[in-house]
Amino acid sequence: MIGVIIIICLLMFSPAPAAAAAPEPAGVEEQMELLDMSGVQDFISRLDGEMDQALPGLDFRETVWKLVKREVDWRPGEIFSSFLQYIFREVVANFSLLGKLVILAVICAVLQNLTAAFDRGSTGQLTYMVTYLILITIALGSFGIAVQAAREVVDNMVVFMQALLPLLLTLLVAVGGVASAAIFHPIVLVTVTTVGTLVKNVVLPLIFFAAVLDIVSHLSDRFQVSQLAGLMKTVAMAMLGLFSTVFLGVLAIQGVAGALGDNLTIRTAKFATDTFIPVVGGMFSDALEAMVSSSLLIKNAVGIAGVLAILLMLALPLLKIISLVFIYKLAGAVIQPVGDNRLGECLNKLSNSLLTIFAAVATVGLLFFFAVTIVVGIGNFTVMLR
Amino acid sequence: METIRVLVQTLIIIVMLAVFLEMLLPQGNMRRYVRMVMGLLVIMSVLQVATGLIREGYMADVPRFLTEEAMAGGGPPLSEVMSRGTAMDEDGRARALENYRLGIQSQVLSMARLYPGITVQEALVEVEDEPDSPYLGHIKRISLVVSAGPAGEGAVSQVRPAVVEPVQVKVGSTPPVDSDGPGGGPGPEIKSTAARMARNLAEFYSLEPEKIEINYK
Repeated sequence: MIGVIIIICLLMFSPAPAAAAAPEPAGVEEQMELLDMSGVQDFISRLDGEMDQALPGLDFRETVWKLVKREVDWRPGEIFSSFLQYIFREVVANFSLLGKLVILAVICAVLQNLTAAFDRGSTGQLTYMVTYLILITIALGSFGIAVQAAREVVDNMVVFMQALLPLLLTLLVAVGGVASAAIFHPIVLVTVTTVGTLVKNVVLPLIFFAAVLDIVSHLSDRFQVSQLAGLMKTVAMAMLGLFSTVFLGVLAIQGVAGALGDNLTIRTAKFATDTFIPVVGGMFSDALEAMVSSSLLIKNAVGIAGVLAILLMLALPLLKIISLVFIYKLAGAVIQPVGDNRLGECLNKLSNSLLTIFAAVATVGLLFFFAVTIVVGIGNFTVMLR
Repeated sequence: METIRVLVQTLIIIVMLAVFLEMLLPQGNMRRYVRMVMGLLVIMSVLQVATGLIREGYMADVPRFLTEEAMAGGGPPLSEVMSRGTAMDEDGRARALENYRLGIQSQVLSMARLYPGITVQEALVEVEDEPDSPYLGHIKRISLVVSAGPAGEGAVSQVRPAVVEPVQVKVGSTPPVDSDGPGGGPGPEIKSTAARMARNLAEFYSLEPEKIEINYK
């Protein structure tokens, strides 16, 4: 998923048609000075210290400036190895969890055998049940931490988008997309915040409850609530799908409508400048276009830096979740031959629920990525049509 | 969400209670009854939540999912975004206008220096810079500073070594002999060349002749 986002990001932004091939337009530095990036920068500075440990620190203004000057020295190999190191570190850190799970599973298996030897005595069964509950509590504890991390990352992304989108909309106004910005401002901010809040407060808890009910279903063969768990999971996934569709649909339609309106205004102004200023009208409109190009260049750079920040914000918690999924799957695989099938299945269900959480968080990241792409793309579209 | 959380909690308690009761109770009919009662409890708790939601109206919980911040959308108001963007746009326009003015100024200077017999030392172009004016970008005035000198731009641009002629000190009131007219003003030849230049510039830029101002130095 992250790889796909990075590739799309590179494909969408790297050509920067307005200015990449041409020399840097005049006035970029002055326009950068005018742009207030303190909100975004403050938020990035406030972000988890964990980010700095795993990846090189992100100075937003500096990144934007480097992108504008085409002096970006990203080393994909280094980033990739950082990610690998992080996954490895997380897996190693979770080895204690794996150890606890395996040891308890072995105890469970021994107790089960003892119960069988003593003609299924209630005491043996009870002890087995208690050990099973301890094992599940440990597994659920780390599961809860992963869900909390997922909620935090969604929250962080929403706050970041609330800081980034006004910046992008300001630049959209500066390139002449006044109508687009006026339409986008309430819609984008409200949908981003609403989708983020609903995923954080409804979808993620529903997945968590579904996982808990799944585990409870494994306590006894006679009292099953797995259908209710399935219902909750289905509702959560349906909501996620619905949010994605509505979010993308609204953004795409509103964006195109605004861009066409702006294009009409800009073309009229350009025609007036070219036609009604004798002899040198073309010169004037060229000078204006050079200035707009510099704003466009900054806007694209801010967009790329924003997407990069979202990716960084998203990557670490997702890697953490993936490493937990791996631990659960590994524990399930190790436990299955020694313990009973119930335990292995239970851990497998937990890992599947974690994968669903991964998908939910990645979907939110993808939606926010599309939101930034659409706002940046609308600016390019407006300028391209003039 | 709170309702669902309570439901899940209740279900966990009921199922665990059922499991432990099943283990603790002696074999026999009692177990079956307990199992059935526990099953009924599960159904009741689920139905209770469902009826509770219907009674409250299933949309009643929706606003609770959304905080005040979510409903407001967060971020600065549109007017602030617009004013910042407009300020950037205006700054860009002002800089574009200045670049455009400087471009015309250098164009005028280059054209004016093509005329032999005069030296155009300076050209100043004023353009309409009122953003709301329908004449934004139109040339308002061109001021040229002209002095007598060698012909054209080529003469100006070529750097020649200064030749200082021997200085002769004459005592008496002999009038100076140069291209200036009587009283130290420009000579008629310079004036006519400058007027021709002004006329041509006015025609080139579609300006009224009085918008070209020539100052002699």
